[in-house]
Amino acid sequence: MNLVKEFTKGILKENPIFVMMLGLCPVLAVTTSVVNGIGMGIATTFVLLASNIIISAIRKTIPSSIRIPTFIVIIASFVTIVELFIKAYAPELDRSLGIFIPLIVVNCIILGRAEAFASKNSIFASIMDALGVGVGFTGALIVISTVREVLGAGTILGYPIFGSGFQPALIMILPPGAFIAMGCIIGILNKLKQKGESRIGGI
Amino acid sequence: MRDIIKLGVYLLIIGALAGIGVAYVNNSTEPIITESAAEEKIAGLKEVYPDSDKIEDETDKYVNSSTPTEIKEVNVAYQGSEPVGVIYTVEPKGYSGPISTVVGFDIEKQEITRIKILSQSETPGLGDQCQAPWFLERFQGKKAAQPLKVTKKEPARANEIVAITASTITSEAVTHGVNAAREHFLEHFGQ
Repeated sequence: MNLVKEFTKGILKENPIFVMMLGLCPVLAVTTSVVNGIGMGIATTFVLLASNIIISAIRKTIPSSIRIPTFIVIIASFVTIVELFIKAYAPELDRSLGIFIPLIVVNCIILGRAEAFASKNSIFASIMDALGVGVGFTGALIVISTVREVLGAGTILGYPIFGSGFQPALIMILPPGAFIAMGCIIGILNKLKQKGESRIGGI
Repeated sequence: MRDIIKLGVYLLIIGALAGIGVAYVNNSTEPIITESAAEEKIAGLKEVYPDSDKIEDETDKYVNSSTPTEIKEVNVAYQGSEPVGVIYTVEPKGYSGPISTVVGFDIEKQEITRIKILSQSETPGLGDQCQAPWFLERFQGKKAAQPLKVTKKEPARANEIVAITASTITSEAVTHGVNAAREHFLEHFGQ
């Protein structure tokens, strides 16, 4: 088994957001600033990693008829743990992410990886898979939130990058801006992919 | 039948193990969460009224069933034994939930010293700007005698507060909360 491939597939080829279109709800909601995007990405990656490890470790004991409730219990426990840690050590982040931390439980990326990968593969492969998908998810969040924060607030990580004459396009940090930014990014990525494919085809 | 019991027991074990794990983390983080919340509260009170030796919670003395429901806490700041300021915690209803706000008043000058937002759940990027210093500063030094009003234009009178662009409901809510504290202040600490 090619472990490097398990890692890299989640970043580009099977990027959870730009290619698989999974877990879009928190993506659209929290990407108003880069800090939020990074926080959400790391929290989700942690839950993904921890639940993948546990589920992969006990995959042979889980009865197939109740595998979904078992996955959910494990995922929900890790989400609660992450929530408590964020509350204790990063109250600022807790305030800005709010309800979307507990909602990681229903993020279909995590359940999807548990069902499609961790319940069928070894622990080590599941770790690589979780890290790859987590990095892909975090990266996508950073890309979208950078576009939205720069255009919508004229700042990056809270620091102003334009002169005082810059009038930020408020719509970009509103919900419609999330759809606009994501649609444009996916469009550009697909265009690039097409180009790449046609070139390979030409050879 | 046998299967149901087997599955039930399996889920029970998973649930119990998960419960133990969560309980353990909860136990170890709970003191930190309560401590940081308490520290934050004192720091927040000091922030809106800095010049005091001690701050005492006198909510029981000043809040009863006839006071407006927005007023949650009344803290009095003392210098020696002399009360010099009053710090209110108010919770007006905002656009998407309560906006917990701290408002400081100076007894001698009869004006607002500062206000601060403790917690809110307003629209990210819009209403949540009510926490920004530039909005909070608009309340600074307002006289307690006159009710505050929200305006969308340049303020013409001293008691007018310029609303946050595209977040009038949030601005109105914060002002409403400050006004509730202001009325209570006038009634009990007015000169």
